[in-house]
Amino acid sequence: MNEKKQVNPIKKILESRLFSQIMPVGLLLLLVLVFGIITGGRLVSPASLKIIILQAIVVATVATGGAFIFASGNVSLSLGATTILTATIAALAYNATGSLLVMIIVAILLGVILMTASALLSTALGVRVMYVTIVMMTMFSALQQAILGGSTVALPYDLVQTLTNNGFMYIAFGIFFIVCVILFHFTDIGRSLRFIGTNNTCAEQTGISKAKYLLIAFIIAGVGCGIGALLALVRGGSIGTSTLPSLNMDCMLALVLGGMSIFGGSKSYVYSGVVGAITVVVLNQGLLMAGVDSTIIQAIRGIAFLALVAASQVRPKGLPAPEG
Amino acid sequence: MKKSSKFKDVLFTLAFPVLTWLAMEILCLLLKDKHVISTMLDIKTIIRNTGIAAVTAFALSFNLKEGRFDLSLGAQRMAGTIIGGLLAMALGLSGLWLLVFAVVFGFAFGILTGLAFISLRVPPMVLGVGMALIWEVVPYVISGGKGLNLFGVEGMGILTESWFQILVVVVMAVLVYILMNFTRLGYETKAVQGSQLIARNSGINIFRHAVECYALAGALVCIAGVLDVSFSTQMGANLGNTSNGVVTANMFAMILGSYIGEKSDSSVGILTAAFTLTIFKYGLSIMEFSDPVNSVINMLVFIGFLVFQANRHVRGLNKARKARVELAKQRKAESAAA
Repeated sequence: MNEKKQVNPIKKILESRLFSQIMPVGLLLLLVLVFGIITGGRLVSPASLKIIILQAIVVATVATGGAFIFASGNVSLSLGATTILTATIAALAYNATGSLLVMIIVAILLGVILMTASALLSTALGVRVMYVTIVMMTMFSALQQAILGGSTVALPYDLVQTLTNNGFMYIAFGIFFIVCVILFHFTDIGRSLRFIGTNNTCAEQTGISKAKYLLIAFIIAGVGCGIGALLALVRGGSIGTSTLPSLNMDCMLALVLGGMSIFGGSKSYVYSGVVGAITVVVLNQGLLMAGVDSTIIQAIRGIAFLALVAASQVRPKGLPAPEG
Repeated sequence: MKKSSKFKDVLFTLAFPVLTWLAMEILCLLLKDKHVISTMLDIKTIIRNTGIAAVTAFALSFNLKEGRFDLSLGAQRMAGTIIGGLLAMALGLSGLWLLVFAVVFGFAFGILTGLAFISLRVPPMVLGVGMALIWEVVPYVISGGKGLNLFGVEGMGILTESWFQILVVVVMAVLVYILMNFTRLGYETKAVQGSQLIARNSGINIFRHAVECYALAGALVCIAGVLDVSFSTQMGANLGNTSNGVVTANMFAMILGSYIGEKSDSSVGILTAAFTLTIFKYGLSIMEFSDPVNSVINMLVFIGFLVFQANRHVRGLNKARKARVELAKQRKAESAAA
């Protein structure tokens, strides 16, 4: 009568919340350890660690904002293009006005406007998210090319140096990250988005408006794109059509490596973007320092990405369909 | 009655390219005092661009009709065309063989992508991103980062002939028409489009079907790659997930083609849509809009069309709902009176 269902203990551990929280950090530490040994400690030298943080900070910022969209079970492919277009226009705004404040306001506002436009197309006008995100990605890239032509926009060297020396990047990222943690883990916004990601129908039937929360998610992601754009400008000093070409892919890879399910839901964490971004850079740097060809690293990233996505989901009996 | 309906359908289909040409002709004359088509070169360019757009849209349609967007198609196009081209050149063969090799390699890359899809069962867009990263590396490594350069290579002339390009596109359109209307693949596509679950429960092997769709898409997209490289004479081996732009740019032709195809057939629709959009883009270039601006205008029109398509039934549905409410009120009043 009271027969207990046999549960595979390993499967139970793998599917537990604690494991999904610890695994990404464990993976990062393992990578640091392995590549630290292979590179004879060069990877963990202070100079190398600083480079890793600097390289990860843009991806971490954009991915942290993107986590809100991914938590709802949606995938955005236009985060990278939005960030780069925003950075281009923000740099032009600075060069036109010479005001840092104008540049910051333009970057954040434009990021929000571009992402809100994407959200409204799907929530208010009913266009499928898959189409919206692809069209926006293509259009924003073309728009950036139209604005820049073949040239680049550079910020004055003094400004870049001042902002770098004053820790602008760390302060901007820190504030954004703390706000995101609060919104995602301690307010209705994060809870509702995770609920939508877990079971869309159930969430709507309990009174959660998918359209409203998706719009909020896109707005927060837009702020992330805006701040990411500023950080990209300060880090590189200039922006061109070939700047950060794989930013979107890196954000997706970061979220997955950071322990977030690509399907969103209850096992979504806002810190995934940060842990994952550092993991991506450690993987890239470690492989480079170990002498692996940079071309091959791209393929390794692709394989790691697919393997982790597959591992993070319960394999469906049928084929995934239909929303991309 | 039927004849009249058929006539309307033909008019509907023809209206897209004719009205687009007319609009662009007027704009070009007004703004630049030029015609959309004035020389033989214009006709040749339009034929080639229509071919590339149509074949790419056909490739997209195999998966997109069933809700799958393969973001690795651009990488498959690049890999198949470059490897096929390098092999044909190494063997001293003609352009026709380049086409054959590219199709074979595209088919192989498509099969492998399809097998990865049915094995991993991750969302198609996510799979596409990962597979694109992997496939981009293959032609880069094989060509030593140089890509494919056909400039001055003998025997490739056939690829640039307009008659050959028209032949390839027509053969592809007929092939897709036959596949979609008279074969098991077409039957299964319609079933899966309706409901994957019901299709599976009714005995359709959705896994084999998905691999077939990926394989055909890979082969077709490489034909588009060959048509492209025949004109530009070179194709770069790009990394960083940047290869898919050429494919996503032709998504509009596929979506518009499906809409036009509602009144005829999806193959005819896609061909018509590709021709229409090529004239539109060509008209914009005659008006001296740069390529990026041309692309932005195209995407804006695309967004407008997507919004129209997503909401075109809303008015009808609202009308029907109002009619139902009115009928209910009328019945209620009648029963109250009785």
